[in-house]
Amino acid sequence: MSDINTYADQTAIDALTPQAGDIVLRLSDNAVLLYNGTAWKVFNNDA
Amino acid sequence: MATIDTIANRSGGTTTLGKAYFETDTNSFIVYNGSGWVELQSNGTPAAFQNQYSLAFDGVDDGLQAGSAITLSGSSAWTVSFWVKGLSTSGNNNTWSILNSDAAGYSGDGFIQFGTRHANQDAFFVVVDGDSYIYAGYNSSMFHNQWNHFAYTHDGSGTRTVYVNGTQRGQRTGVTSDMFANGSTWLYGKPGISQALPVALDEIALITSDESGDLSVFWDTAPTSTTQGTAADISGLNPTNWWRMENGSGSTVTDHGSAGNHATIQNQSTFSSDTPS
Repeated sequence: MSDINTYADQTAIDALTPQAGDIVLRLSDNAVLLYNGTAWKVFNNDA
Repeated sequence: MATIDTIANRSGGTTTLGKAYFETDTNSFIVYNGSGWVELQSNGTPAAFQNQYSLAFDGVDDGLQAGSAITLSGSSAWTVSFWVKGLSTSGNNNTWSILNSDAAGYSGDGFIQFGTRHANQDAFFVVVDGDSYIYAGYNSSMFHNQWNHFAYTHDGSGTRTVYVNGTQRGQRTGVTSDMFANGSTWLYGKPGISQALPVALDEIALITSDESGDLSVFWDTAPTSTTQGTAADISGLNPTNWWRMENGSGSTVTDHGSAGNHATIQNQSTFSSDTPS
């Protein structure tokens, strides 16, 4: 089961209509993005 | 509130694209990207304990059922703990079942009730266990107007004690039967049992130790005969089951205990921001 939707890059993420609290994985750089209601906040891979 | 699975180590995780876990070995949030794990490490600082929601029942047909049956062993120590508040002062002439394992009707296999015998009379708790019971009389104004803490403890050797707001209200000895040993477990209400009073429940916990020696572990502010207390973070007690009611929406109540025995809401029981906090 998938918990987090994954997208190829920021272009694909920009096409979304997110709601506050949405979390996605950006596969182009393996960053996790969290939408805070106004913008995506980026968390970079620590591994 | 959405939740993700926890896992001790990613080696046992499901390698499906987008699968996410909180990995307890590393305190990391991990997501599988199709070929490896993306990892966001925690700074190690625990989030502050919050109690944002309770679960309110309409007193007609609402209920809350555990995902799988629960049995408390008659040969081991344990504590049952929860917070409860009556939400109405009229029409309260029946009893309400909390933690009842029987398939239908009342029996001596173990259940906890509270309510009033007649409208506006003093409220009570009664714990039926091992074919007898403890009756814990109580004051209706406190019952209806504040959150009350209830605890039922077993020392592992047959002594079982009821506490309301930290005060002992009854005790039996020589009780060695299992509790909640028959059928599915209802955390509140169940089909075929009449209800009449809207109530709210919060922080229902089952713990594999006898906490009767220090019930203050259950509150940050102690409840008294005139003031309600505030519920404490009991994660340090390693509860087997801990239904916190923090989901806030939906039809599931997450079990934050080790058992992960999530409960299902019946008939539109609603989350409320009224909590013992």
